[in-house]
Amino acid sequence: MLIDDFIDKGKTYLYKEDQKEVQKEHFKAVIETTIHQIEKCGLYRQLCKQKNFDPRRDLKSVDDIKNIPYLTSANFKGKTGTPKKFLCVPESDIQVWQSSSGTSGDPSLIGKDPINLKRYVKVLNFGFAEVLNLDHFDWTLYFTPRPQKFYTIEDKIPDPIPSMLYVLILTNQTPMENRFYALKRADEEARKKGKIFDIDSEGTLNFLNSNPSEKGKGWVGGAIPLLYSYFSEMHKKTGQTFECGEDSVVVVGGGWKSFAGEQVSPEKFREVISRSLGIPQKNIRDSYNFSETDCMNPECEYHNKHVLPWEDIIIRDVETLEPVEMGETGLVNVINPIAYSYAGVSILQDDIAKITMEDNCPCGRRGKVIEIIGRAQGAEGKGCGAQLTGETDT
Amino acid sequence: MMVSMKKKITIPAFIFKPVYSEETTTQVYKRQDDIIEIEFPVFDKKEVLKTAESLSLKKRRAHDRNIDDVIEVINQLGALWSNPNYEYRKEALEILPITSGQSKVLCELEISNMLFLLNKKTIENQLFSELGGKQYLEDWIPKGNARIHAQPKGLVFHNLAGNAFLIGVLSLCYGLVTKNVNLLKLPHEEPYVPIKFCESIADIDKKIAKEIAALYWRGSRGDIFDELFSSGNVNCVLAWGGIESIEVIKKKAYHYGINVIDHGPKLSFSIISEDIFQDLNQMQDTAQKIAVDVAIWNQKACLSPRVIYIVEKPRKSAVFQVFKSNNIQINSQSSEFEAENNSIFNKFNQSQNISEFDGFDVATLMQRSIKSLKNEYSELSPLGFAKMLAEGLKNTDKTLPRMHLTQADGLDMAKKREYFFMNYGTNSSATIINPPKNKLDWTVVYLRDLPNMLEIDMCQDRFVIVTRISSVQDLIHSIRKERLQKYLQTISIYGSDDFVKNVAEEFSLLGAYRFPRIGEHNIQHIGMPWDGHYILQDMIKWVYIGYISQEHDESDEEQISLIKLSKSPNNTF
Ligand SMILES: [Zn+2]
Repeated sequence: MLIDDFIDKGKTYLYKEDQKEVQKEHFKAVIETTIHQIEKCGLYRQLCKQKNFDPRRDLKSVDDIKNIPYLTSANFKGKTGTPKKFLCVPESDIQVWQSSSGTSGDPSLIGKDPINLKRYVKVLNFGFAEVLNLDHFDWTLYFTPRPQKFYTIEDKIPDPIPSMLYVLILTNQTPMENRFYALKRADEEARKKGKIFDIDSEGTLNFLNSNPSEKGKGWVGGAIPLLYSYFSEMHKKTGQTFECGEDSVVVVGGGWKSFAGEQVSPEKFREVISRSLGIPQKNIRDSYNFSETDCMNPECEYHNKHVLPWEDIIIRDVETLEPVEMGETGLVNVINPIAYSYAGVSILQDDIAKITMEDNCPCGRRGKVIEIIGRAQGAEGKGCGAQLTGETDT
Repeated sequence: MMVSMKKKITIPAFIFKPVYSEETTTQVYKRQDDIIEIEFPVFDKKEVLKTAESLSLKKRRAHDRNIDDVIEVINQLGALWSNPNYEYRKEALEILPITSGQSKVLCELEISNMLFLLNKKTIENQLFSELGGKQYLEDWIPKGNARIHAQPKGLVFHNLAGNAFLIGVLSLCYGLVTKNVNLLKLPHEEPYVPIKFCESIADIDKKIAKEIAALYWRGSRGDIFDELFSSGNVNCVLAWGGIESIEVIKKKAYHYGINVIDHGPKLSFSIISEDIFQDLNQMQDTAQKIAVDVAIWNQKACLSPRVIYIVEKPRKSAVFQVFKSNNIQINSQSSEFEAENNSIFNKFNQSQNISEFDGFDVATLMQRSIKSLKNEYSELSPLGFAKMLAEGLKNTDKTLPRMHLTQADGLDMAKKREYFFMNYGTNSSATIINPPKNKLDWTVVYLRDLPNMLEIDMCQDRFVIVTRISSVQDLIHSIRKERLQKYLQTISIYGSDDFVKNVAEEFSLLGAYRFPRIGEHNIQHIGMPWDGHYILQDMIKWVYIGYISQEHDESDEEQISLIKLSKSPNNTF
């Protein structure tokens, strides 16, 4: 399909002066994917019919992309949604069900077949290599537990797997003995308190004290609040610092809110981590992944989150759902022509964001730059009158 | 258009007077560019228990106060807040639209409705109809050979919810007028209004203010509730709020033998008799009234209608025979039936070629019952009513608008519409009606089948379902199936007096309490019960003194009797 050629030209497109031409090619790929999904997914076809949307008739110019009917994330929730009904391939073709990690009790499930997976891994590796400065790495320290199994793209996985875990497994090409994990299964005591995993302080310190920079370039990864609390605590207690190497990279994700609901400031985070690990601040990067898509938005050395060539993002007003101007905040509508096995060409996310610039990041990469504000907020108190089913604690 | 607002305010707690504390929490309200942050104190167990203890010591003092003085304080409170230039009111009307999501005009309407209750005359009326008169709170009133008296329960604990911002004020005033001392736990989502009213009370009467405390502690602190209830200081609990918190509070309070008056989540709706289809104007008028009922409180109050059930008896599918005989006329026993069906067939006639009628071929068309045809092509149908209700909501959006939606509200509305489309719209068993360009302000869903509990729960924030029932029994069956009996509260009814009485009889046996006329969901008649009981009665206990009868029978003295009938004019042998 067109999108496959498009992905292969990713590097050229990322830097291409004439972005109009890139948009044109992108648009063609979007049309093809949209038609594919409408033909293969009955439910999405019905939605498009109801919206009186015919891709052959209604997608005439790049601007029309905003008219592609979007699905909200609710459709993909495992319990309350119907993720299987949004497949565009037979269910037996699905190789892996990726689940969103989110804090909600009802994660999204996205079914990916080999075609979709191949593209997915390609664009992940592209983001790592071209934006995150991780074209190669010799060792990894992940703030996750050691995976029970190291899957490859060929493995069919019976149970849903959290996206972050899956990505860290798929993209890790370092020798087994160079993969380090900072979490371990919680001991009896901690498990009583409801913890499943705990920091393996001894193992982690051993590794960090072994002068990792000698092993070459490394990648320290995990969830932001976890790394932050671990290293800021350590700094307070012992003030100990380590040498992970000037070239090494910290790539994190999972949002900036701590477990207690407090916001971690990116500047503070970079300062703390850089001081502890001896990794320059410019190599400390966040990467945002929209749950029901194949897209990642990695930070460049200027800490701007780039929208990569295959992805498009439309920001919509929270009251009208109409697209807003650049710089205005709203709900994120991701246009994702990579989606093949599920009807995810246009997804309305639960996230609030804004587009801060287009084509003019000082790093030289073209395209949009997005700033994620957070999850949609402000669900009103549902008290006496309303909610018969569950509530939030006050 | 309004200028956007960014404001941060700090409010005190109220423990006999405004009080600040070291630890605070902040509630943020955000609607587009309007942002309000309210910072308020958080208290720990020690302070809460100490407050209850000192309140408890003032029970006698509250009891001894003259009822007229109490009424006067509330009367003045009502008068202060009725004044458009009152500073607190002016500030509240700036803030409430953003915290509650309802426009200023809607907030004003709700406030003035409530202020009507804080008026000397109204209070006295209410005391008269609920207790027999204010004198019972004041003195021991003869009743036959005995004298009875309404004693306050003592310390009333009001566990407030954040959905309807004035409930806390009413709850407090009822506690005061029954001469109780009052402890209010503020909801995190809406701490502002109760505090402002407490401050007003302190401005009016410092002494009565010393019998009131309104403060916040974290709802997750079960230990605070436990010790509060076990302290022996709390005599009565009024629980407003969500299901889970009420269940927790009930369990804890019952454990210590404290009575809980449950004002938990409720379900309210409307039932419309099929008489409505006799008059197009009546339909439009009714739809408009329901739209207003929906707009007030943005459906967040327990009494707001969520689903409109319209009775429409099933009819025989006669289309097939009619077409077969090539005679566009229905032979039916009922003339009404004929008239209605004729109106459909007139449309067929107009369309000349039946096979072109809305894209259905004749064969498909024939398979469909008259009933469903009627639904789709006649205004005099439940679907027609749904469209009128949509029109009504559109009008109401202008007269009683909402405020900007929060991010989550907007997303929620989009998801709900999508839910109904995906689950019902795709097989034509639902029609979703919303404002032009899919704006998210309101939604009407016409549903062929009765909604389940989850779907009824989606009906909040100007989201209404209209559906058809073939008889009232249909609905009763569905409510039983969904186990909704215990949530039933207000059912407004349109229909003949007999219809109204019949519905009220059936549904009150099922669990509902209020049966106003359509358009009066939000009107509470003074002196009428609430959720099955009289709210002032809940906060008092009836006590009496027996006297030795002056004239007694000889024979009475000889035998011991455990029952004595009072002698009173109304109560003779
Ligand atoms: Zn850049």
